Amino acid sequence: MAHIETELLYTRNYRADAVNLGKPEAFPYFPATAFSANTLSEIKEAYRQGYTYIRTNNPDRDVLASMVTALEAPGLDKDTLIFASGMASISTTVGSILNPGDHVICNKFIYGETFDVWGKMYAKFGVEYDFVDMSDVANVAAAIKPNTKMIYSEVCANPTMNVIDIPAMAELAHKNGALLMMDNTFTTAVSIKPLTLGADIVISSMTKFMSGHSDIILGCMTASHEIIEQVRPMRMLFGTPADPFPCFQMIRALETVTLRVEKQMSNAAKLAKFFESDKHIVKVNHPSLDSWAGRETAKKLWSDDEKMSGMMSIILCTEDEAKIDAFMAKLHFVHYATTLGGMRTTLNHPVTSSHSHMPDENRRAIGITPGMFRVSVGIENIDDLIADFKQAFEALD
Amino acid sequence: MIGEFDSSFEFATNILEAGAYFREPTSNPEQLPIHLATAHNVNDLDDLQKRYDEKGFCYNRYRNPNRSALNELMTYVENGADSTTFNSGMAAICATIVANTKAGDHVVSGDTLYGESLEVFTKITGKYGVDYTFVDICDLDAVKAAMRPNTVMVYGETVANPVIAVPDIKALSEIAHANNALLIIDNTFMTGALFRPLDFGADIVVSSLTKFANGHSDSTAGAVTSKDPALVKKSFDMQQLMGNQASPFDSWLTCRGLRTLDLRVKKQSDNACALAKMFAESPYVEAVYHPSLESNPYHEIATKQFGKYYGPMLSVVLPDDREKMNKFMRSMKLCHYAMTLGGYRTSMSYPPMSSHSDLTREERYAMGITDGLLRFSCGIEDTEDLVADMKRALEEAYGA
Repeated sequence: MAHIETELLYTRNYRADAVNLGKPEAFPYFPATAFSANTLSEIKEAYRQGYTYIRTNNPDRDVLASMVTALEAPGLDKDTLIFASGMASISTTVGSILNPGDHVICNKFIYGETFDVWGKMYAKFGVEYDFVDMSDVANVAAAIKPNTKMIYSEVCANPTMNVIDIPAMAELAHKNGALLMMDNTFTTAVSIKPLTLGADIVISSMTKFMSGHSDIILGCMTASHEIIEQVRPMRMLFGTPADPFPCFQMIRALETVTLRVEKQMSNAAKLAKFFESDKHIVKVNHPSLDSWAGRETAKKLWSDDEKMSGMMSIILCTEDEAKIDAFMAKLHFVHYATTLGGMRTTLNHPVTSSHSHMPDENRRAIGITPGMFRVSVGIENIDDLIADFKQAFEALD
Repeated sequence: MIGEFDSSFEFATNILEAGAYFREPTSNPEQLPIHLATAHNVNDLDDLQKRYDEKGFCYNRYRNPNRSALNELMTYVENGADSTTFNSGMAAICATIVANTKAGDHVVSGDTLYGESLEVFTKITGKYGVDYTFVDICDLDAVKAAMRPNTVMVYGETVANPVIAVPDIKALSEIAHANNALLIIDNTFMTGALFRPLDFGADIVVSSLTKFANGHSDSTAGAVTSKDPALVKKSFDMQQLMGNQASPFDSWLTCRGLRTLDLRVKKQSDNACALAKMFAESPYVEAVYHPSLESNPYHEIATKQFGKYYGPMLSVVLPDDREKMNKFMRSMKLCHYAMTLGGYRTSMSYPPMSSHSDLTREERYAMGITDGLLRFSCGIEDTEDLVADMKRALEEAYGA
């Protein structure tokens, strides 16, 4: 097999006989909601191995799915489904697999709306759940019940970056007949491939690092053919297959994903070192740092500090809002955005946004304070990036 | 700081910053721009709070300018108070059903719904403990008999597929409301240009905008509209968790398509009436299902609800002869088989091999879906051309 950089430029799996394509250098955009046929036998053939209705199948969606499989599961016999968003990939997959009476163990460090998938969506239909600190596998082992069907975590948690021992967690899950489902949004397959470490299902909000251009909302889910074929018909009913235009955009974006994400990860490791050494920062959450609580687990998952994640969070030396505002205003090109993973370095303030509804005490208990910023590192020149933060930190003095 | 472009940095940095924002005013373009951005930026925490307070745009999946424009347009089209729009009609239907049910509830639904709408009840909410009864919703006594103390929802389509049956929406709403249940109506086949279920007592109207609403067969979207903003909010909240919001590009395309809805769908309805008349007079056609025909059992209620526009969908029953049906399909120049409907060109589908292929022959026949059934979605072709083309094709396939 070719290296992934090459593979991504040549993987174009779709039902080639069903679309009259010629040999375009870039894959075309297929907006058609349906394909036509002349006779009943042609219709039968279309249902068997061609394209029919857009929600069932679409060439752009197929090509994108094959690229994600190549990224997430090299050498493994897996398949991918593409969804209208990362949330769609989570809620559709969960709803296809879990039954009333099933139990889920979910990492307590997790994206807010994933919390709600358990608490607000599936709880009313009889799915049980427990939130557990999964940084220690023993905590999860203690929470396992006979009806535990799924263990769920993010590779790097939002915003505290908590990691879990994926191989050990997979072993624990499988020993108990449960599936391990991982969210790879903050890391991408360029950094880590949870399926190769024993996870059963990997999902991502492709909106973030995989896209990198901040102009697409999409999600993906990669798993065994058995799981994929269980979820595929349910995706039809949830109405969550991705539209062709964002798929077309994403095909284009993935062609540069290795360049972008590798640069973002190496910038992040360098920036983390700078933050750690700067007096204006009291804490840096990034798996490359020896000072970080999850460092030992991180070493099991990654061998290269510069190939971990483009995300981190930092805690400033002050919680004074006027000083924080002055710091933000002083930044030249680093800026605040309500998303992450883009090519430009952006900040997010969990206390004002994702965790605004949580009482201060509870927030502090999981390490989120008013001085915390989540940093999504871009592909800028690293010296420029460090200099921009350095000059803006003066506002905190 | 989101200010003027400052070129003092390295190339790798500058190339991300130059041209990142519009520098001149971009207000009031004649056609809406497409807002693909996943996020809108702010300068500091005060600016962020201001953005929240003025309900400005933040994250795309939550709110997006193109989706908001489509919401406003659909709220008008269906005469509601608010709307939320989805990645597909199925997404709108599924989110609304899931948002308004819980384990232990009961739902009464039409028995001839679009196949996948039925499957939301049998395979999603059914699996999670929501009971359901499928009835002929044109039979009001059957609907009344199916209601239980825990019935929270009555669900139906304005025009039932594929025999084009027309339920009495006002009467259904009275039955639902007498039981404190919601009436949810799928208006895909009529659209608000021809009929507005909310004005006849429905609580929520859902639509696949992919079909007649957009009309160009090039976008997939769905809508939920209600006169009660709290009901729309429920579907919106579920949309956040299901992640099945309408994409900006498809929202933009659908807005563009809707501008000609009034012209298209009225013409499509007129063409359906003309074709229904021709089919009814043809010696080769065994049955015609279209409420414009006075002999149709739904003619009276359709006239009361729809006025002179009986809708763009019709079905016919041809002799059960595969070879002749293939010949008929090949002989038509202005109609082709498509795996969708509602486009500006006339298209047909064969329910036994498409929407109802999962059923046994006996189940299909019980629903009136025989092996000779063809369903037409009428386009905006010249009426005389369309009628003449089909008449000629019938003659070529079945004549002599």
